[in-house]
Amino acid sequence: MSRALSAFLLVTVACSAARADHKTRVAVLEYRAGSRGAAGIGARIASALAHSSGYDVIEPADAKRRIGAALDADVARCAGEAKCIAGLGQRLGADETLLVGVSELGDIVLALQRVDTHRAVALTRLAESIPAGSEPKAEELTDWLHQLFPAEAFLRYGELRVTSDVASASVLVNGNKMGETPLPDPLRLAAPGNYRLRVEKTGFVPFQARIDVPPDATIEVRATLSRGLAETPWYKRGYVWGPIGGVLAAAGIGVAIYFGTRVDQTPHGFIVAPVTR
Amino acid sequence: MHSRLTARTIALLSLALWGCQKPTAVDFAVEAPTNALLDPFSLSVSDYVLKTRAGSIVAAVSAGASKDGRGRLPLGELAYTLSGDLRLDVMAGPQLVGRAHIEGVAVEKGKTDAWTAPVRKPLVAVGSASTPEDASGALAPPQLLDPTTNTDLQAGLKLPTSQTAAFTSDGTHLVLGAATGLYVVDTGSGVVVGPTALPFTPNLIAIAPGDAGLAFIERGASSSRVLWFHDVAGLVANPATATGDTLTVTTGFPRAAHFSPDGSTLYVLTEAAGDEPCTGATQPAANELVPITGGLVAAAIRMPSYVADFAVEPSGTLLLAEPVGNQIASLSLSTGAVATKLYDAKCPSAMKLVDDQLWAVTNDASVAGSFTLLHGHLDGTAPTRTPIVLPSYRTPLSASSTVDGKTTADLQLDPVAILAVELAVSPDGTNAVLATRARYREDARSGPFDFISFKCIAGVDVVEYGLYSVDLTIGTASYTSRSQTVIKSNANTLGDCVVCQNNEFGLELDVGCRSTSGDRAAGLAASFSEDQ
Repeated sequence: MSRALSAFLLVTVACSAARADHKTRVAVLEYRAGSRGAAGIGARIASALAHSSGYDVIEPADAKRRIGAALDADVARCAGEAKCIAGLGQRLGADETLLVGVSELGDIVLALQRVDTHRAVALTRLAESIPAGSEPKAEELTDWLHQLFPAEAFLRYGELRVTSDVASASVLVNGNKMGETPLPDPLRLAAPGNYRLRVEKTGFVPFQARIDVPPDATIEVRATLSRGLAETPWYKRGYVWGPIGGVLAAAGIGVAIYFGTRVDQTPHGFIVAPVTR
Repeated sequence: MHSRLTARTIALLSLALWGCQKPTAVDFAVEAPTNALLDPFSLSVSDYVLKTRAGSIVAAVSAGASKDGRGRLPLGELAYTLSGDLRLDVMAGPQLVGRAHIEGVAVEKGKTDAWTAPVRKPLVAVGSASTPEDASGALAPPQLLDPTTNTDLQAGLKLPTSQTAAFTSDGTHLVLGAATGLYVVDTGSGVVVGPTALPFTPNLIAIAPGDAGLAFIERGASSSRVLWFHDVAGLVANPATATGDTLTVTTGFPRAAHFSPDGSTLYVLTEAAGDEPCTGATQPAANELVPITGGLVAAAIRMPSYVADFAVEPSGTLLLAEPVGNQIASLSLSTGAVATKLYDAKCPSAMKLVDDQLWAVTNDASVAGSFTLLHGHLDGTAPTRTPIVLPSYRTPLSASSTVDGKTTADLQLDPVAILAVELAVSPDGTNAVLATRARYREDARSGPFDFISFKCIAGVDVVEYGLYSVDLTIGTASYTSRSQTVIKSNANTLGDCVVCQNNEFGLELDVGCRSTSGDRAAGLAASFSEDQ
């Protein structure tokens, strides 16, 4: 354990938000037929899709900015016809277009249609109704998206780029060997996820760390491996731990003072309900 | 050993100081009505929804959610930008059962602030007034309709008879204007204060958004007085000591009145004596709008055509219901001309604006024998039109009953048109109440009609006042006739309204038309939807 810790202290971890090169781009368009219900449903669905999938999502407002104010009229003219909707998607540079139709028949009726803009065909359709005046819950939106899009759409990835100052060191993720340094490409891992990384080579103190890999980001780990020592390791010597202990103590007190005196940055609301008679 | 001690010290210090955090929180303390009849919490409350004044949802929490250690329901994160006036909607499933206006909310870092949310039921008040055709008719008792329970709360609350009514913007008070004076009803306790004498019998009432002003308006013979209270909070707190400014409108007879959004201007729509849109024999000429501002009555603005009712948008734009122009349109105040047509509508009359939603009664008949309640939006989105069955006037044919009286033949008259004099819509748009005037008119111009082997001529003019209650969730309406007055019955010199003759056999059948004395519904008002 202490060997791993000592290695970790010698490592620099960098995070960048480098995006993957090609991602499926989905444009979300909203069409209303005489209904004011479920206001902003298109934007909510686009936001939910962007957060839960690996897609590059064009929101309705962004689509309008790109095409112009005539977009609403163009969408209305399409009347849900897949070829016409695909044409709008192509103008937006989207691979797929999700049309969110809102109408009212007592209840608010939501009709969702996913269109392949390249082949100009409808891929999946879904119709749902919600009571007038109500808004669909976030879980409902997620459920609808899972019905509309394939399961793999919701798999997201992050990248782990591992380098080492020692060549031919084995790189293990969760105990599985992924290759030897230098790795030709970053490791593509399901995200978000927490991974156990180990970089090892005979005669060197292994590098070990737990790494959080967020979606659509590249985590860069530069592992520095120290040669193993036969005599009392340096990290067991008092002159090493004295200053480190002092630094940790100062840092800890600083953290404690920060958390103890800071103002909670997020305001929260509460309802104090009356006691039911 | 040394490092372990240090680590423990740090951990303990952190824990101790952690408890000293200063959370930023906003508590909304719900204040329920004390009168059980008016208490929405006697129903099964499902959710609390916090909204902006304009109606956008800010946060929501289920009434059944887990409470924190202080018994509070968590609304979740709020934004620091959240400030100003908010609404708290209390829901029972999809139905709005209570609402509170919370004024001046502000979020301050590191502070827990509490705001009182006085929740009130959405209510609809219906008063009564004498009809101009029959001043002797008895007035029906007032109603205080509770859409959440489909009941009339009048029996338990005993409101006085009034012919004008308005709720304060927070729904906590109902102000009634009656011949006996002014009454203030506390919608939490049900306590009625009044009457407080008024210098005239008010015909109209207007209340400004945010309770920036309240005005009673007279419909005088040659001039009409306006009593304008600037301090509405003071008025409802102590009506007896409240004072207002009195102004006089000398052009025409007030027909409708509304404030500008900031409450600085009162617009009074006037008309000429005898003007009767939709149901009249002739369509009236263009009428006028009188702006009153800064204590001065400004010059009247001639309307583009006769205007039956108007509404003021939150932007200050005026919307007109033009029965002659058959449209609902916005007005350019500078030119007095129509700025934009919003909707085509056949002879529209009463109109109501609730947030950005527009309601108007029109004579469009998508179904035979019906008129329409139009529901549109300020952006001109295609409206929904709910057909409502027109009333009918029935009079029994003489000698047409079987011996046991179980089978009769009635003569039925359908109205030429319908005019909604007043309209109230519940804040969630699920219920509407319409005070209507229908007119049944037949004369020689209509020509004879065949009845079995008889040739009949009708000569009759009947005015009927009624009250419609419309459930807009399922599109059904119930109608109560308040009075039927036969103005003219002249099919023959004997005063019969229908005369039928069979010359082949020398037979004549004369039918008389009877009046039913009564009143007209007046003083319609819905809480949380009055000029908000």
